[in-house]
Amino acid sequence: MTDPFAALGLPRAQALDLADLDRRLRERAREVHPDRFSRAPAPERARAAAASAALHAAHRALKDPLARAEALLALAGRSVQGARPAPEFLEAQLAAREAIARGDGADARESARVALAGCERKLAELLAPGAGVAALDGAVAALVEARFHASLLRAAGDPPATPRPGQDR
Amino acid sequence: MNYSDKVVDHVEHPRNVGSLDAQDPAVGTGLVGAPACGDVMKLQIRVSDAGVIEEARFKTFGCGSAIAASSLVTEWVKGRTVEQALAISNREVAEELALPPVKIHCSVLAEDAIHAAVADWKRKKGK
Repeated sequence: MTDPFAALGLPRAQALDLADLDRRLRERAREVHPDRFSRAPAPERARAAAASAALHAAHRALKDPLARAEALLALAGRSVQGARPAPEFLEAQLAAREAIARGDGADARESARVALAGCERKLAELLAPGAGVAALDGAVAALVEARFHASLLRAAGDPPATPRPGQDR
Repeated sequence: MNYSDKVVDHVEHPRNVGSLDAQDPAVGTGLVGAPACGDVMKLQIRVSDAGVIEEARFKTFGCGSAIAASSLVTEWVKGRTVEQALAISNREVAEELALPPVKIHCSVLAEDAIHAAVADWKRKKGK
């Protein structure tokens, strides 16, 4: 895969200043903006358009903490595909989903929010520069669990988390 | 995401939604989860003494493709022997529902659920 961190000139790390991320996108996207190439020869225009698309794709891959963790794991040659969540974890997920479907899911939602935040903290730790290869198994496990919590919260109608600038530092 | 007509049909009219008694020795329960998206799928089968699946139920919490895949396999496994059910492949499910590449994992999940349900039934039977 292409390296979204390199595309935006960032170190490969889970912890990230979102305001800085947005600023980097703005600065770099400006240089390849289609308006600046409207009178350029077609091949150059196409190159600029591709570069612009790549910058926005990199930004998307890094903005969401779970997508960012997935990108870091992919760069390390790891993936959540094939990971099997523990049976007890799935039982708990099923019970929580059923409670939400019954309209009785306030507790399930709250615990999912807390658990998701916990997973994100763990990912920041395990996917820090220098955390080492040994931390990757834990990071895969934390990302898988986070996906279930995030999926539950989406199903429960929770708005997607919109982190404040700098909050995710 | 544009769902195929078949997916839409299963989502709007899901077949065999619900639960069987997990404590019943003739019932096998498969509970699986998709690590990439967090979908949860429960598939249950009731198997006759002759090893034929008489009833199937599912509960899926996830996207339309996952719901359709599990709904479809509850229809497919009914009347088959457990061995025939194990032969159902995710590719057949994906083809039947015209799932796009990004949704193939939903059909994989349905196949996993069949295998988990049969394994649970076999474990109970001591086979």
